[in-house]
Amino acid sequence: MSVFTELVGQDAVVEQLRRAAGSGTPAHAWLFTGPPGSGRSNAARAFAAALNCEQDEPAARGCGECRTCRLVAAESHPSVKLVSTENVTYKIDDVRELITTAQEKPQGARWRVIVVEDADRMTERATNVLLKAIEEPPPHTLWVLCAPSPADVLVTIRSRCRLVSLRIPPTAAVAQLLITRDGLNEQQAQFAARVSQNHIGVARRLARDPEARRRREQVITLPLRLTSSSAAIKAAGSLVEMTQADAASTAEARLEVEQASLRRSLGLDPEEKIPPKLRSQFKKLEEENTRRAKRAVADSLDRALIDLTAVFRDVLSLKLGTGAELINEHLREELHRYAESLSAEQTLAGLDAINAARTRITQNVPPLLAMEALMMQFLPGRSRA
Amino acid sequence: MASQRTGSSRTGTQRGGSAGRGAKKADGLDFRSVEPAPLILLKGNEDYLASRALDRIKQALRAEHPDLEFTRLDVSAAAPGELFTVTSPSLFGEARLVLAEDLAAMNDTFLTDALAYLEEKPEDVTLVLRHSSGNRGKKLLDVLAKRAVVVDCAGARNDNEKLDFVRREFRAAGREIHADGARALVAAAGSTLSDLGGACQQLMADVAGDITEEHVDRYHGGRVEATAFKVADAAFEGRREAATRLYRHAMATGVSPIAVTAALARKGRHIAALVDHRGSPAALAATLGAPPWQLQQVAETARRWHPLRAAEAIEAIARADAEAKGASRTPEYAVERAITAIASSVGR
Repeated sequence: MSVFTELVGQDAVVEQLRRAAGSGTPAHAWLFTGPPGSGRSNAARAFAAALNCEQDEPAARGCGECRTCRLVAAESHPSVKLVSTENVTYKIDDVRELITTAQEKPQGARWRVIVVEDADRMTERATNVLLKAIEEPPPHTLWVLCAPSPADVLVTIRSRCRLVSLRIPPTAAVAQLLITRDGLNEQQAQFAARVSQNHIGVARRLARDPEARRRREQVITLPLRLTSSSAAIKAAGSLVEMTQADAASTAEARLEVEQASLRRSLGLDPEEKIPPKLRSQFKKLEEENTRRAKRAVADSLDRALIDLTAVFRDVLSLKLGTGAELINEHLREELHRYAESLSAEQTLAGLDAINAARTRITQNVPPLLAMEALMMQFLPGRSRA
Repeated sequence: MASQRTGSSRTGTQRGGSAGRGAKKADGLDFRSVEPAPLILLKGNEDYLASRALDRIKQALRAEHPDLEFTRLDVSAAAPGELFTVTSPSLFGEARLVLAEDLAAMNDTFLTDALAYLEEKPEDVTLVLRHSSGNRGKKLLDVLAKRAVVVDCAGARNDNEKLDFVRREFRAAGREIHADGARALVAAAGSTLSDLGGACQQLMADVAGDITEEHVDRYHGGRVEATAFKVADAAFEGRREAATRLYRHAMATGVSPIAVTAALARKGRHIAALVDHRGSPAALAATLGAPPWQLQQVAETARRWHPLRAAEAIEAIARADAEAKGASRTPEYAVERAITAIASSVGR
């Protein structure tokens, strides 16, 4: 099985990467772009594996079976560094560290590959640190940056990279992947692929986790159910609270593991009191954890808002009689009824409101306030059209 | 309420006098009457009162020993023996005043040194310890409570206590302020005790004779202590002019626009939740995680709102919040616009 197998519906890109990997003289910096769920970081990993694959025949590189390919897939190859951040943005010190890594020779491989999985999360200051390193890396180093769109990275970075554009994979291809890789049945796979709008990772989670499906249903039916202002406020409150509780419990579990491992590496007993001199290190862990939880809340609310966008897209499609396939096909009846109560302009205003909420959350507006403002816009008979 | 303050046996040095209505029970000596003593504990979280007490001690000591040596000791980073170095007898025998600040953050070294110091008690040294809050070094605090002169430096928690502070300020200086004058002064300059203290000093210095409301008005006329919550109340009650005026006052006195949007958001949330709510208010309070009295307070206002107007108000707040946090170049104006929008949307 080739490393490129899971890149469904990206034939042109696979071809481009295969050729580059086999050529022996690949470009020194790459920028992988594509909407969320198109498999940017998977493509970057596959490319890194193919570059260093142990097959002699250039056309067969990226075999997925040799030791290198498997190590890269397991994220433990010494010469392939995959970096991503769990915070809202990268820390500049982490970026500086990458530059040092880039200078090292590859160990037991042809290329040292550094994959930055979310280059869009680098602040301008952090990116500027990278400029020089990306422009002229040592002869055996390759940079691979990933971002949703070329506009998400500085123009000075963009112009130094070879661009690889991934597209949204077709529903059929995603469903097929879910069937062959995850062993879902045809119907489940189709449903998951459709409602996730062809986001492979989300589709898999929805297909596997009934709780995630239930929650999604609850979110997307909100506009159909809200009739009073009081209910809107409560809905926003419970939605935000639920996401925060989720994020907090995951973060808590992880913090415990990290604290335990820090205690081990510092030689403290699990119950021992932390000496004042070491307290700052534990404090740092906690701060890190808070930042991660914040990002988790923002991400999960963003997902909910994307699901809501799909509802209004469907409503608009019904309204205008485009005949396009509905994302939420299973709610066709309800959506029909809802569409009758709205004008096309109101539907568009709804889409705008969702977009505004997404932007606001990134602008540091408290998630609760942003969601309340959005839910209140869903009240029936609102005067703004 | 007891009119005579309770305290250690040293209260004898204190000026007699009854505490006013609503005065809190004092936990130590009044800072205005503190006299130098070998060991003084400034207890309470109000920095202004502590600095006033210290100034008084310093002045009294200087009057006696013009060559007073003053040392400020950072107890959070004290080195072993540092306390003894600064308090040991010097060659020329100057009097020494040492301020140890702040016991809440002291390190273990200082704790050990201080306990040892209390055993020795060198001469010619005035050791002033500041303790803002907390229970760190309980043993030391217990000993100090018994042996040191404890000065009450707790801040004022409400307007009554601030009023009491003003009265005491004037009484201590042997001056009079009329009751309305004191109230007006608290309303105008009562945001912090240091503001209030400064205002009292200024009035006493500038005005001869009794101080009336008129005098206060001449100095602080039109200035109103505006908090973000007062702004939010006025906006949602539809008092547009008052809301704008309060908001500008709030801006001028250093309230940040973000604090105002936060207050607006909370108020808006309660109003929108109440506006068409059927059922028990207590259950609603529990769902919103707000204390029931808060909802009761806005219930009256909520009756004047329409759900769709409330939607507009919350939309305006969310927009203003984003703008105040960097989406606009004029955060102050963005919030003011939202306030105007809210105040004009009242009505069913």
